[in-house]
Amino acid sequence: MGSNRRERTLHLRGRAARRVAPWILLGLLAATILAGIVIGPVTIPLSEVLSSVFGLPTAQGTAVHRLIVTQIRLPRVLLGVLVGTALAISGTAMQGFFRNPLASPYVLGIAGGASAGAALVILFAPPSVLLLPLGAFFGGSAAIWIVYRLARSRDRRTSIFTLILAGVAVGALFSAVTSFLIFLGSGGERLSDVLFWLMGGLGRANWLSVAVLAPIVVVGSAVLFSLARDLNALATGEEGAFHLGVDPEVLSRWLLVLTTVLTSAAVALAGTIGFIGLVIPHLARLLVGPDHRVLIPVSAVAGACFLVWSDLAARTVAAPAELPVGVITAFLGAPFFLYLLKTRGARL
Amino acid sequence: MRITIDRISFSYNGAVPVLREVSLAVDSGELFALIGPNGSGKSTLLRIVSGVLRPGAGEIRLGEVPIAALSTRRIAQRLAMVEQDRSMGFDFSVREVVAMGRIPHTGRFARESERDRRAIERAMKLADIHGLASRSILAISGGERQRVFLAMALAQEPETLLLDEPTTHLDLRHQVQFMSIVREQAKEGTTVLLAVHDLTLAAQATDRIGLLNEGRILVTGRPAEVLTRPHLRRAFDVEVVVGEDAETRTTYVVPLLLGHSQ
Repeated sequence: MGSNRRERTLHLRGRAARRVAPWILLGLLAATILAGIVIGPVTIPLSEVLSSVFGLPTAQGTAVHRLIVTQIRLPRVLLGVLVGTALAISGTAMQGFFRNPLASPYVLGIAGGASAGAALVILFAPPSVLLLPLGAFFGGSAAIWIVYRLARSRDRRTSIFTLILAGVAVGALFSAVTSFLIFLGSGGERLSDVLFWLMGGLGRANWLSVAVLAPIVVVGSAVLFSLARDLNALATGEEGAFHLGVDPEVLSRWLLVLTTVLTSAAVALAGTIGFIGLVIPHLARLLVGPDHRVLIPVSAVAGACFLVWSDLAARTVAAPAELPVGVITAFLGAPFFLYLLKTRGARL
Repeated sequence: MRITIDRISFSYNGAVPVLREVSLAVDSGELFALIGPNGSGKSTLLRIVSGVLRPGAGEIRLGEVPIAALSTRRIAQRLAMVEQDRSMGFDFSVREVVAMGRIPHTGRFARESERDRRAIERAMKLADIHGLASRSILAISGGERQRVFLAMALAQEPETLLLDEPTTHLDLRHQVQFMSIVREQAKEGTTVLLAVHDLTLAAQATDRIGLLNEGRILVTGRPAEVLTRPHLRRAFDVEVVVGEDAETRTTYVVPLLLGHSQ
């Protein structure tokens, strides 16, 4: 069943397609970034956007526009690019690791742990852009550490089935911790901070958050990309990977660390935004096939574009009010995922 | 390259020993079959030879080098494995799967070189899967998939080929085809260690046979020396007829359903 569809997905993998794909992707990303800056409560002409971004002199009377571009929209769009990339490639890494397209950083409990850590920092620590990602990272690491320890049996092998079950349980535990922290902190003036952040969004983007996240995402993506071929080998199973010269234990550790860092950082700066890590890798795989050397860059760009466009929808649909962007990603992502489940069934 | 299995013992979780001081040596260009009942330790022994499992005691050597001294990548450059069943996680094309056989030989970011391409093409031709190149690995039959994994192993250009009941799910034609490819490889100098249940196949296709029972080697030798009624009775607890086809002079083994007749 479904073999026709699968044949069709194989067509996009020709060598010619591979040569043009990077340029199409970069063009798409550039167009998305520009659209994200142009469109908003105030529409800013493309020429002004370009001159502001590249610091060229502009006509008079557009100082406000320039301020909107450089201080509000550009950092917001860039944060969207970084967060979308981080979540999408974390999802790609986890799905490759589990050899299962249902996996995501959320399934492992990483996002739950990061949320609890970030909530702790927001409610009880002095406000700081640096403390927040650290708190999220420690929360996410704690979650993944517990999950990994639980799932590792005495003969030093990791059962993927146990790993997923443990991830779900630990994720639930940490979300209870988050709720408890909110209960303790209720009445405090920082509660609205936590709520905003729980719903997820790019509304509080600034250059500092971009500067914190950018190096993490750039380095994380590069390291993950360098593991692309090992992820391909892992598709033949853990022992299969070993026979191809890839030590599955070492690879697992790298993947878990990378995913934890990327997910925690994204969660710390933009809250919990669901479905990107689940749907984007899957969509990318449908388009370009499962080869991680292509899949990882395509997922990165697709995740970035998806989040920027979702954010654009979030701030224009009910303007001047702003919807939480997590609402948009879930509204788009969940039905798409259900559609995939229905049409591709057990093969998914 | 000569494989030496030197007094290997092994147990899972320190419980009942699966292998007890097993020693064997297989020469370059030799096709050696491991036979024995379920649970006799054939697969475990292959996994230890491949480096996936570490033995409790004893040593595996590839040529003169102990396998414990080699990195995972170095092992994969010399040794390839085909199992009875291997599942693929995603719908890679057949050619992409065969090309993975080049992973141990190429750099992390290397593009497919002319040499890689030749090895891949040759492996696909040998395994007779050229027509499948662009098909999805998930959309082909079990027999075809097994030949794809053989092609992947051949693309590794290994000095040693380990096969764990590779023909169990294949029909007669594909069994014959699979084993002729393997024999051809052995003729060209590859060391082949094969675990197999089909005794007639072992009798026909291999140079030497080792009969494993309860974690020990009961007997090794030429097929006719090993496949005898007393040996098989002792290992499998069944009566068999061992015969030779007068016309083709091939040995066959037929188990008797009524077991302890006469």
